[in-house]
Amino acid sequence: MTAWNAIKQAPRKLGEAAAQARPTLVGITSPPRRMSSLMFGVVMVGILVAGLVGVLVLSTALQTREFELRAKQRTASELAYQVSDLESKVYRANAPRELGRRATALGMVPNAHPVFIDLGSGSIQGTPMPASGNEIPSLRVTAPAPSAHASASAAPDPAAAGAVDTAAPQANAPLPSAQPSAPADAGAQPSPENQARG
Amino acid sequence: MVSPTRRLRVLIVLVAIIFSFVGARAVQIQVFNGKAVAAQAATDMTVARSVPAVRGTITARDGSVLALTESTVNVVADPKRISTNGKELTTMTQADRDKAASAPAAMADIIAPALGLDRAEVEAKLRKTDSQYQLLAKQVAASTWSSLNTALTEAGFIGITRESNPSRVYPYGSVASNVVGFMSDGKGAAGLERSLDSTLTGTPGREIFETSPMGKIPLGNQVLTPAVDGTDVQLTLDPDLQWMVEQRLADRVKEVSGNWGVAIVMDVETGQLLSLANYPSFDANNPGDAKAEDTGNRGVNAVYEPGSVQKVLTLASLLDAGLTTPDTTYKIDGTIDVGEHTVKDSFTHGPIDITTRGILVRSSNVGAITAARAMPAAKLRDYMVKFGLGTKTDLGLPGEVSGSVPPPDMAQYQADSMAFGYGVSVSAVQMAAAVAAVANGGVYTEPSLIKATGTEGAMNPAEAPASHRVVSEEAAHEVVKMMEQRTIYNDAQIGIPGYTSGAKTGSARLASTSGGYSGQVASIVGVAPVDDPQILVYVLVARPDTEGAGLGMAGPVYKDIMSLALPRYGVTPSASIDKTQLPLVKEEEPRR
Repeated sequence: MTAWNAIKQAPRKLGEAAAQARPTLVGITSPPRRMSSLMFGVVMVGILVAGLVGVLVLSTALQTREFELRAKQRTASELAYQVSDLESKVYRANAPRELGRRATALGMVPNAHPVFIDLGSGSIQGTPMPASGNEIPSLRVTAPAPSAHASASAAPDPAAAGAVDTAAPQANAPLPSAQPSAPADAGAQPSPENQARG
Repeated sequence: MVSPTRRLRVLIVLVAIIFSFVGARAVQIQVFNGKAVAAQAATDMTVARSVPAVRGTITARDGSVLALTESTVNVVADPKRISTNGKELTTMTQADRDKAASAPAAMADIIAPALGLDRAEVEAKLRKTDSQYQLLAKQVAASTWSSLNTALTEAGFIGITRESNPSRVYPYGSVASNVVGFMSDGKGAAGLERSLDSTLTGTPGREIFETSPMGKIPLGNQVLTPAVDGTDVQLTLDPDLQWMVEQRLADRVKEVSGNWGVAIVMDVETGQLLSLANYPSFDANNPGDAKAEDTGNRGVNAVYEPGSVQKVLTLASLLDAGLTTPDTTYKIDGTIDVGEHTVKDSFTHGPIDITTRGILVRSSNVGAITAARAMPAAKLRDYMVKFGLGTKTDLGLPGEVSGSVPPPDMAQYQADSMAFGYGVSVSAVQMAAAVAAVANGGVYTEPSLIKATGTEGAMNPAEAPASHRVVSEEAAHEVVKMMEQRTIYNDAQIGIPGYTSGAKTGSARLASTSGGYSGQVASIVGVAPVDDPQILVYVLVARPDTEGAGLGMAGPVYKDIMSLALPRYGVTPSASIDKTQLPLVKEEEPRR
């Protein structure tokens, strides 16, 4: 077959093929019904309400947490104040003068002549002497205990947060100065009145 | 009738116009006025608050707290609020009005005794109904505030609140107050509080957050720059010993009607000051009650001529240079010419052959001058400089003085004066450190007061103080043995029971601020035990006149302090104590 013949027969063959492949008719379903306008409005309002309620709940929860946080911070602050106060009391009670006062009140006396005991041999180093209580009277404290309001007059701290009036009771407190401040004259000749006496 | 399509188009155009305006406004706000609007919004919403740094504590060598910042509060009243008992004026019932009217008086009954205030004053402040802020009390302890707040709440009163106002407190009061110092107007005003102010203060932080009328916005922007707390400082002072020394010194100065006194206890080997006591002193919590001149530290601020204590250094120098021995004798009279003046001994004698030991024990001025003339003045000066004289101590306290020594090309009379403790000026700490060098086998160690620094308990030891040899170990030991002879000479007054000890007394006129001399300073320095000195005690008592001397004035204080300090630091009693008095003059027989 020549090419020309093939070209001439092509339409006929295509018609035969088309006759053989004729499409089958099938039924079609109608599209789903659109939501009614009323229902659409209800759904939209529902979504809006749900959103508003969600925001309200979230906001309320956050505010509640905030209030809880503030309450706990306030409690922590109060407890920190208490800790600071109790620490100061312990430090004051630990002061040597206060211990001396309490020891004196208990009838204790300073012992200026302690001895050492060698735990290995049991020997005593030093001469044991009973304490009469008059060895160093300076260490016996008979003064009354300090007043409870002692801390109220303490100096203000530079780190005072929220301090409104930090004018200290000792605002005019003196600055240290050397006394006597005049150095000796290194070039001075010794005079009869400046003779060293041992 | 307009078609739906047309209506839709009109609607779209309207919406477009509206959104065009919105867009234009957005561009105006965001582009043209963006920065100004953003800044205004930030200003309106943002709050910045300083986060205070906690000032560092000052502790003693055992960790005892000498200075700390306590969280105290100011108690304030809102009289306007009290006048309505916290209610709206228009909604108040008659019962509310009655209660509000009686509130100031009833509240004053609760507040005044709780805060130790005058009741009438408190009530007057609470009745200032045009005010919303009345300060009732400053720096009240937290426990006091807590009790007051509870009482007011239970009684149904409002309008009393607190505000933070931390206070600097000194739990030990006057103990080491001349070292620790105090604060005034929020800044260190004396002592270490002053000299270490920047170290103790720290750096405040800053908190920036967004707020709404309801308070801080939970999820808003928050920037916190934390505060850097001040550095804690630990001292070398022993607080219990410091107190005992202060007590003993105070009693003695008062007993002899002295002007002032200083007592120093030093660890011979490390140069650490275990005690640096002053009298008169002051309560660091109430420094305003003290005289200005008593709030410094005379141990480092006051200069004086050391007097006969200087002979310890002079003789150590001569021994080190090989120019004398303890038994070398010097033929001396009772007086000697020095420049235009005549120097005499404090004890009356004719021509004697005094030993070097005798010079120290009898504190012979003539003998010291005679012996020292064997050494060139410049060399003697070099020894004194090596002993730390003329060089400012570096304890960290304000106002430390350097004292003075004569120049190298000094005249002979100046060298003579220096030999027996005149013509040089020192501070007490300088002199203590110089004698400690002799006790420490001839090695000078810089005195120190600060043991460690750090934060939150992590303390870093201070740099080890510099040390250098001044005299040989042999020379130093010979001097300590001669000092022991001085103790034996007055054993009843200055001997330390159970221990070998060496001492040297001194007294010298005090330079007056108006020139010349005014009063005297009597002193004694001692070390123990003699074989291996551990503790040095130096006591000064200044008097307005020239009555008494070191032995009688300062001796009893020295004896008690040394007796307390030795066992406290685990120095066991000496195994044997030889109280033989070796020859003080030529061919003198030893005396037991």
